Amino acid sequence: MKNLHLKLFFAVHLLFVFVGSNLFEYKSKTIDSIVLPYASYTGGGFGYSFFSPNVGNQTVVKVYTLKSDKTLRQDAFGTGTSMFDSRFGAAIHTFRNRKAYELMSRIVASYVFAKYPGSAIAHISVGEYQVPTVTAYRLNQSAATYREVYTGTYTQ
Amino acid sequence: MKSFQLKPGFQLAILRMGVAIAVMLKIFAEFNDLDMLYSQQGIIQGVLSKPMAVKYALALPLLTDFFHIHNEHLFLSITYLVFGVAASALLVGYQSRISAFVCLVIHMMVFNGYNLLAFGFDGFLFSLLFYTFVFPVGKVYAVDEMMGRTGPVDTENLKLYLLVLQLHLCMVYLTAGVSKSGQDWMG
Repeated sequence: MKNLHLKLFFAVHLLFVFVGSNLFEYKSKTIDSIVLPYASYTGGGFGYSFFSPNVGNQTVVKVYTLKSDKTLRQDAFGTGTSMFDSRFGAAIHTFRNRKAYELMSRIVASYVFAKYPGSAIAHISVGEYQVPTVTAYRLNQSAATYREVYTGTYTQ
Repeated sequence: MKSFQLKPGFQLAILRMGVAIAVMLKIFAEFNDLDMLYSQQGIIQGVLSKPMAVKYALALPLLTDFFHIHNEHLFLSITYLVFGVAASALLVGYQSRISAFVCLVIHMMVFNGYNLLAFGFDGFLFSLLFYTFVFPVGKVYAVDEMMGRTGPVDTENLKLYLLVLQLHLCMVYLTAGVSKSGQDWMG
């Protein structure tokens, strides 16, 4: 059989991709100890949950900064307007607890203080847009609602 | 008049060029924010990234610690410049396998070190960089081919490469389809 080694290699690779895709649930640390290191070097063996069903609500961070000229500046992070913003959105989306939101808010505060030199106060609001269920959507209750999950005021 | 015909294995050239362009766009989009994204004083600070790091994976924070790199700004800038040079070489097919390997290793280090910042694009790019490294992408429409460094693409192997890509994509869509068939998504 021609190129048996190559075929075997790809067969094993695709097996890792299949096992790592989370198509079926397994709770074996032994399998994890093989699949995860393999995935970390080849990219084959990660789940594809970003397609579904674990697509959570969009989480955004709204920042109100009082600048040195006494004007109020409003910024939003997590809206996906740039690569930086998309990646920031991915991070705040991953952590879904108060401690993490507080930590991320501190990082955002230090970022805006560096961005607007002389600014002294930043008010930060972390919230998520909750989309309706498909059933509610069919009943024309389609508006997404903003729910604040954390708020804090930071000074330099 | 002779009609234009694509060379056998042109799909490999498309893969190589597509991946190289994706890497270049990633570099272009991230270069000005490297410190905020991938330094230990950035969005994901050392206090978060270090406890989550795993021993077996090659990751950027582990590398900066291991080599005691203090000037992360300079290190990240040089790393991304190398990334860009390798992606450019990959685009034209110059030293394709080495270029693909360099791109794969840099992307791998960033992905493993800061996977909290990653999304679907990064996962797919990781997989495609691996295939670009493994497949003989420098054999078609490449500088390597013009310089006579490589032979022609084996047609039987080409079928295998394309089959592997197709099966991988099938698994992705099958996973998404099965997940979406559950009550969580349908309701």
